[in-house]
Amino acid sequence: MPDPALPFLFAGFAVAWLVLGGYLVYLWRSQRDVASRLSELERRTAGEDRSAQDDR
Amino acid sequence: MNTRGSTLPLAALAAVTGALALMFLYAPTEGLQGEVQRIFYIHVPAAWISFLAFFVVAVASVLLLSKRDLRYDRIAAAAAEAGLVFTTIMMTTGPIWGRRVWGVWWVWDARLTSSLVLWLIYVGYLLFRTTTPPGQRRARLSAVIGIVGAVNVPVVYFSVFWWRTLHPLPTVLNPEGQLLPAEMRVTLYLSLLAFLLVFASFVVLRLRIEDTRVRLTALEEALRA
Repeated sequence: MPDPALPFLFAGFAVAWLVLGGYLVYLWRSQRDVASRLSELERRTAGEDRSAQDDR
Repeated sequence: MNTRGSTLPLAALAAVTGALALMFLYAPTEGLQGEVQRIFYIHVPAAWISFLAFFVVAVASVLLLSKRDLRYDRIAAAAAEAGLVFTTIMMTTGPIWGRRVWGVWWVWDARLTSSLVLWLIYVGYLLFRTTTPPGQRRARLSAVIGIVGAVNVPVVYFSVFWWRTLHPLPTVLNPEGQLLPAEMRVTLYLSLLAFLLVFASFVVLRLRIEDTRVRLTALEEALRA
């Protein structure tokens, strides 16, 4: 007979790791979004600088 | 990710793996509660780390109010967010353990109620930050909320001594001495170290994101000018 407390133990651990994992995914996605927006903007400004130099 | 940046998360991962191994392979099964007692190795470190997080929020908030440097605001926000994660773990694993051991998910005793208030204060803190435009005003008001929230931490900790509660008294930091067997103590301490490293990794990662966001905002403003 398995211990009747096992579902509670499983639920406790599952909830804890879901919360930690969920937050980690949120951080990872935020970092990726901000970094990609920054690099896109930097690329755009570098392109504008180059075209301004070409015009001159 | 560079080598320096990945050291802390790797150390956290190693400590979490070690702590999980100790929880299930080394720590003995508690005689009275059975297997469900192992939730203790998550619940208690999560509670301690949430207290630490809100202490960091309070210190950074005081520094912000005295020096007006927005770096402290970013540190406080990062610690508050990670602190809310650990408080959520404390607030969910506790009732799961309580349902098995006490027979109820929740009682309105002083420890549980003050913990819920702590959780709500920091939910409010983060909601306030997301709904208010960034700047000195938001930083100052957030700092006030952060400091008020941290005042609740000692109330949560001492509630089991000040009032009669269903929640057990501390087994480690107990004024009557050590109540835990050595194997359980070692497991608890490694779990605490693992959670501490996870907390530090979260804060460092959050700060890195905020630094990138500051650079992004500066670039956007420069382009608009």
